[in-house]
Amino acid sequence: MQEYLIIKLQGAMQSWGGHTFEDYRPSHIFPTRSAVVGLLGACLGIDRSDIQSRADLNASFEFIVRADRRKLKTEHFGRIEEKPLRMQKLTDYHTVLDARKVDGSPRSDAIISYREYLCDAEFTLALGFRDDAVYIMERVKSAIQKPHYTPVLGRRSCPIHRPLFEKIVPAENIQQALDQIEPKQGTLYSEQKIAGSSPMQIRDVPIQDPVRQFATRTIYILGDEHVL
Amino acid sequence: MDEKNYVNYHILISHSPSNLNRDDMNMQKTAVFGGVKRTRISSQSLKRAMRHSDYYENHIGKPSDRTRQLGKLTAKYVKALQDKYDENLVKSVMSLISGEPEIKENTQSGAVAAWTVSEVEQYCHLYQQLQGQFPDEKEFEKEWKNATDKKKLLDDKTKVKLFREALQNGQDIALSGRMATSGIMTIVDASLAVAHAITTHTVDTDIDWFTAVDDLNQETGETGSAHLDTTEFSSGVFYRYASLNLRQLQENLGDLDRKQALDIASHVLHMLATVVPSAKQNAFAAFNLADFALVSFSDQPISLANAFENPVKAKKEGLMKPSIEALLNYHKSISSAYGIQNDIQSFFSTIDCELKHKNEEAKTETNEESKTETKIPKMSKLSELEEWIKNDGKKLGNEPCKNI
Repeated sequence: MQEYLIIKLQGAMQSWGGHTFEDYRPSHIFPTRSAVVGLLGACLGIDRSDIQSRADLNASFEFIVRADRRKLKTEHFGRIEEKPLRMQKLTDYHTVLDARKVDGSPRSDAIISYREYLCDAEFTLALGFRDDAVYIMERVKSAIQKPHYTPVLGRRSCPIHRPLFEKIVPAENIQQALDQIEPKQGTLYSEQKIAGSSPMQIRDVPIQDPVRQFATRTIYILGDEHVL
Repeated sequence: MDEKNYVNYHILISHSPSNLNRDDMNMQKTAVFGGVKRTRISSQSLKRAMRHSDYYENHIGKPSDRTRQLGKLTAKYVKALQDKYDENLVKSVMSLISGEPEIKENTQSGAVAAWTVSEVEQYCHLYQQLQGQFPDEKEFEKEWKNATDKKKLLDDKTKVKLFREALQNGQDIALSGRMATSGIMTIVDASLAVAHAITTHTVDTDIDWFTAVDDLNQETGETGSAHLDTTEFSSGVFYRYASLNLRQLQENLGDLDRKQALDIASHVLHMLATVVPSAKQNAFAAFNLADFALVSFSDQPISLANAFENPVKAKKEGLMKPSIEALLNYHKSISSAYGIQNDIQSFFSTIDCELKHKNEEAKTETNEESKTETKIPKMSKLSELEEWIKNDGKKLGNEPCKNI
């Protein structure tokens, strides 16, 4: 039995950026590894320029994500009903000065930029820490309960709507850890192969040098058979 | 007492029909929350309105100069620093910071950047110092590069502190951050996180069809209009949320003491409760003030937007009162559910209401009878709540308003 750290990411708007170049800023439909490393790094107070610590943090854990299938309790003519919530994408219109051109130099005029957000999304994460982790579970747990830098859901305009920390659970493996947490339904995005899943390549592993570039990893997606 | 690092602002403000934030099609910005449509005022729109408000200029100081007019800016700074540094020195420094080889009267930089004269002054000081030490031009250039290298600057905490202190006259940079993609200006991470404001209820927007009459055409007997168009609008009670990371603000301003940071925190409350974006205001004049503001000092910056995930429904008394009730009820349940009732909090409301918490400590005592509720003090003036923030969540006297 190992212990796993359960984290909840919940907020009206979230944005888990994929790779892009300024004007179109898409969001993945689940939090990426780079996002999770960034979020925990912010809580731990790892400085933006402290690349070594960030790499150590990245190497400290494996994780699995579940896009929770939630229901909202709502009153309808005096009766309590459960309304399923569906995650939706929102595109926000924004203008940007100083956008980079392909050669890296800034443009002189404003450009229009579209940013994607996820609405009505909630994610449950289970994190398993390696035996030789530089950042151990207890340290990460206290950091998310008393964050150093402001933790946000992918963008500074996307605050958390509940504490990040859910609980620490013992389990045989990481998927079982996640299975203990409500709502117990939703699509899984795993770093380990799970039965019935489909593999996908995603470029979201922060690499040390050059910064802000990413390596590829394989994740395994297991859709929820009861998807609405 | 353990000092809480985050100031959370929860504001409810009702806007009469307006179109305060729109997209490229002139349609109101929206979001889906709890499965239904809400109108939205984006984070960037709110922050800009605050930065350009009169209140900002009067209480926080002139915002930084956000400009790309390097020529005009250089002339302005040469004049501002004329008692300390000569014209050529300031010009050389401006040219080095901006990366423009030569700054003429009409020189423009590639992009709008945030400048403060005190920061340029720091660079002038460094320039003069290095010039004295390294008269050889090549050697000077090398040393200047070394001294102003972004990575090295960040490693050298005392030096970066000097530059951060210089930001004290450009507090908007310390609040909202600065992305410096070029030049040698240091990157500053924002200490204020402002959420997109959304309505507490679902909104059906209206379309206003309008025409413009040409007076001279009318005089000749023409009856048609000279222009016709439509504009989208709606009204609603908006939930505004922001969090301020006090430690980060202090750090951004060169280890400013907490008391001064709290002064800024109180001004942020005032702006969140009173500043309204200017879009289409000549047509709608939705200059409304907040009816409710809850402020807490906490360890975690948590939004209470989920109070409205179940959209508030209008009652006889309208939407504001049920919105306040929804927020207070939710606040009560989330506080005990997550054990974050140690937050220090207080609120302001124009509408009669009260915020109570179960006294958790009493529960553990043997005498079950002593289980009571603690009432969180309500203030009837926004200025009282501002004072309360300035006092680090203490009421007049020394007693902290802790709700346990």
